[in-house]
Amino acid sequence: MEDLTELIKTVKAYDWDQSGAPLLAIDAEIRKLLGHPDHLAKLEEALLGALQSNASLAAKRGVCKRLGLIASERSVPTLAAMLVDTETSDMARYSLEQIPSGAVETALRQALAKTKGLTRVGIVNSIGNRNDSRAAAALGQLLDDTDQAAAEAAAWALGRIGGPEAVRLLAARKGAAPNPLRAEILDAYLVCAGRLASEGNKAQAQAMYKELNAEGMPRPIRRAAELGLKAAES
Amino acid sequence: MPSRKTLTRRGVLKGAGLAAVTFPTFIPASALGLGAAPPPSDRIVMGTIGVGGRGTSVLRDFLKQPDAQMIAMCDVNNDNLSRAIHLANERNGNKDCKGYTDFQEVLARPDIDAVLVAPPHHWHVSMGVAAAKASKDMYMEKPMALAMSWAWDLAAAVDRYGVLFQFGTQQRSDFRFRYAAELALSGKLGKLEKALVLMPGTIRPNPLDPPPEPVPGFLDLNAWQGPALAAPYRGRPNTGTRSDRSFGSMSEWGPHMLDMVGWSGIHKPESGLRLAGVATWSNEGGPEDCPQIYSIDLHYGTGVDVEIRSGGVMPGFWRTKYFADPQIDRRFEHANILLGSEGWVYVDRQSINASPGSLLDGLGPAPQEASTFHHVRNFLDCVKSRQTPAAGMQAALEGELLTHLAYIAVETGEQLHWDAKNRRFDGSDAANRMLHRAMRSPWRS
Repeated sequence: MEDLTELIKTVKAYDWDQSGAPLLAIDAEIRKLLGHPDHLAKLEEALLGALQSNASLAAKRGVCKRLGLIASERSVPTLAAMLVDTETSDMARYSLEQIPSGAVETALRQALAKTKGLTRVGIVNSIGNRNDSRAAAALGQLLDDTDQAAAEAAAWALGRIGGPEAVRLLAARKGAAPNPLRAEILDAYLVCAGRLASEGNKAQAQAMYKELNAEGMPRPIRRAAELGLKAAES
Repeated sequence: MPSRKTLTRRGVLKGAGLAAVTFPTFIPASALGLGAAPPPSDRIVMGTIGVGGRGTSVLRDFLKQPDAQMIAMCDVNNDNLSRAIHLANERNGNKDCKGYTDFQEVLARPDIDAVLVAPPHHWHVSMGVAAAKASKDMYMEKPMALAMSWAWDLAAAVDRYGVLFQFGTQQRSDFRFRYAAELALSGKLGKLEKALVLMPGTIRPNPLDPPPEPVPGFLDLNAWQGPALAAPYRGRPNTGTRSDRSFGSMSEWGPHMLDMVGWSGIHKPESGLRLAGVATWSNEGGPEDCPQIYSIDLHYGTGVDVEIRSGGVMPGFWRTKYFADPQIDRRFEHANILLGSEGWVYVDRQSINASPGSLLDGLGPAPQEASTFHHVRNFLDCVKSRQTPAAGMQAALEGELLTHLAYIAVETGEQLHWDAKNRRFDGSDAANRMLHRAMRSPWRS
């Protein structure tokens, strides 16, 4: 293993006007250490040290792009702290979305209440990518938020999460929401119907497709519902 | 042209006899005659999203088609946008082509049937999903995605909305590549035993970018970066590090050259697929942080092997034994070589070779136009006929997947086993993590 102290020192000193070689050195180190959990844990600890330091945003961005490949639950608190900071939220999500730990879902749900604007939208997107069904109720509340981007993201996330609660929340709003939120809700409802059909619950899927193929629905939605209905009937 | 039969929603729709109800009826282009000006009802009204270098190049091939009417251009670089609008207006003989900096405004136009999606790579999936939701057919430049999870999301959206998708792997419409694939699919090569794939490596200086500087007035940097992590402007729009936007030459050429692995019928991952690879990276510290020279081996459970080599590590005997002209040393060396029990075929964009030589007896003359022209033509014909294009989604996903697998193999340096059914690697946590990456807010797939 390389001298981690020296490596992290060069990583911390990195900024946009510096050579990116220290970041590529992390890649090489990861390649070398995969399959050696004890060594990877030391590398993770060292990278977390860089994130907790006063290193530049460029350095922290570079670390986050790499940390997600090896990070364990131990990295979640540090990344969760970055999640609620507008300057570091996206890079933290880059790592967090790759970490297979329930602690990530908890951190994302907790961050929802602490953020606004684009930062919150990103967190909602991450919740959707993680298929976190425990976030359904919070996402349902966001559907009524005055922040339209957050409401649209919540609809999208509910579509990915699926399940009875998501279907109920989307169904309740699919007729009345203003565009473009309505388009996102209807798409999420289509996604839920498709999942139900693929899971064998064709009766419910067909009923949902028929709702979406009704008068007054946008043309792309009607067309998609028609296709979905035919596929579910075959 | 060889094409795969697939059960899709479009197939279901067609079988149900709904096509005439749901879709406008077009007269096939073959009945129109190229060069004739088709009536408005037979024209496909289009917009182009992303008119940089490659986007403009493909746009020019669309503008050569009499039945394609480009009425909208979109780019966040105003210099690119002005040039593209001028090209379209010149072709249309009017000043009706409108310019946009927000692609959603193009997609919201009900008079647009189809779009050419050709922005920088990191943008493809978000725009493609939005196009599908707007019920627009699309010709999308390659590569498809920066993570397979994105590509699968795009495929799902294309399927959900029943829109037509053509991938910009124009070798599918190249007469030599088609001939080579047909030799394999027809059994004329005997039992396929191995595929050799040559792709250009990245062999060029990688100096540091200039220091951050103010964003010039012609560019909306935030919109340009879109789903990629933010980075300051450093003297050119193509800012940040290269891995923010692509896999380097692997993602430039993988979808083209690895496409033949699927096209020839070799790609049977359900039989078991093991792979491993090695690569080199620049140590100069510049923005190029993707694999430069690489070598990857794939082993299918069927017993067929695939050897991927970049320029710089290609075995010398490939050139002397298979190249149509071993003396030629091209800047972007690339080739597909298919080895069968009864013969082999070599193909690149300028030449084809085979053993025995009689395998090439059925090869026709080179067409006048280059392959992208024919690929564009195929897309327009399929928009009208609702047939699967030459590089439809299933074909596109195979080449895209192999590109990602090769990239992940060299980035992890691990021996990998791809579980096709579950879309995961067996026993490699880091490789599985590389199947996904987050997009910058507010973008999603």
